[in-house]
Amino acid sequence: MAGQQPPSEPPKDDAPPPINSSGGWTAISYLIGGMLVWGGIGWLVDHYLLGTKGIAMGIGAVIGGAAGVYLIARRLGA
Amino acid sequence: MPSTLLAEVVGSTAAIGYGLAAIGPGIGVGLVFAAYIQSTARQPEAARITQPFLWIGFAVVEVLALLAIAFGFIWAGEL
Amino acid sequence: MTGQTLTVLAADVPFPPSVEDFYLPSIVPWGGHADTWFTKITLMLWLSVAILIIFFMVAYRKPQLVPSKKQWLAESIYGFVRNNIAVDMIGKEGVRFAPYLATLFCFIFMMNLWGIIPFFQISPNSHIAFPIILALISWVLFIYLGFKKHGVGYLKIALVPPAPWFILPILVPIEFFSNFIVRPFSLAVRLFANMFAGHMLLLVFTLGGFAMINSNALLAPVSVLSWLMTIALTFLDFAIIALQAYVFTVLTASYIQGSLAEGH
Repeated sequence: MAGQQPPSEPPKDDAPPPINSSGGWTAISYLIGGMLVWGGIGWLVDHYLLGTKGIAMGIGAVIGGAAGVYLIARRLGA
Repeated sequence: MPSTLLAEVVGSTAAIGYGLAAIGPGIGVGLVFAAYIQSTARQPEAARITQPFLWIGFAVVEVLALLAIAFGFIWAGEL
Repeated sequence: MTGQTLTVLAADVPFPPSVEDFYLPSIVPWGGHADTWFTKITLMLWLSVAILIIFFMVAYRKPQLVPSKKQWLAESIYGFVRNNIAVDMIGKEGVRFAPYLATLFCFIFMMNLWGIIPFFQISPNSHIAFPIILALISWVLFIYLGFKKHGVGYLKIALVPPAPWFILPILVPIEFFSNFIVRPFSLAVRLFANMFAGHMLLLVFTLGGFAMINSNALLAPVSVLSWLMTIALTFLDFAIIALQAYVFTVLTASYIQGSLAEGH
């Protein structure tokens, strides 16, 4: 293309992976997604199985949050 | 003598609770990213090495703020 | 002279602006509201498509080695998307997707740009239908690529994180939600919310200026301040327009790269 430098050498297979520019979106989506999914499952358990008013949703949200943090540590961590 | 109602504050304590709960993680996330930016400024080659710790630190601090949002809804009614 | 200007400016304007202001009246029965689809938004959509097709066709009519100005512009736009987005994010295979990504970038940029062009001044992307369709196309694309390259093993690569087997039942729903539901949703909502908020801000400051003069003529200097704020926000809106087109394209390229990558 006129005026463009030739594209930079595509990274070879053993080159270090590119800086994770979408890391922020992945992290937030794991956190919020985890709490939504397990909070939702907890709410369903609350509503249909146990009849309590919010405790299962709370437990689900905490489990989901912890699982989200674990996923981030595994996927984006060292 | 029966007590009379002199003044009344009406509103949602969940909102106040979330406002207070957001102070800590706000400062925490700022500290995490500030440390990453500083370390990258001092030694740019270390940026790629320290980036995983950036995301782990951000996740752990942010989950507290998100739990605050969740519990605001959960405790809006009685348990 | 000031009195006459103030009387003209103090027309009755609806304030504060609401979501109803985004539902425009139709053009071909002029001013109709129900059951009519040919509004200013439709016109802008057709104009975007026409402008893009005609511009690129005319720029490439007689390509020369030393490019003319039109050809240089078209080549710069395509070269930017191909080098800095497709090849950077996806690698050598990115050239295969560069046409789609370039079309996506140019189309979103053109559609967003109507938000600050005088006389139009609303972006079709502030109606959520358009970002939804664009996000849907990107979503189907990266899922199809994953299945084509890895077969059914794509589900195992995408959904199973590296973790001991007994925690996997907790993690797999989160991965499914984050990879297959949050990604298209966030693509659409990011674009829609930026355009909606930009237009709403401009509406508030413009109509607020008129509303202030309407209520009390002594507030005229504050109205001028409000209109200066509108001008500043228009410049900010232009930066956001370009940035949102870029972010949409970069994220699509990143999802394609994730689909094509080998497993861990």
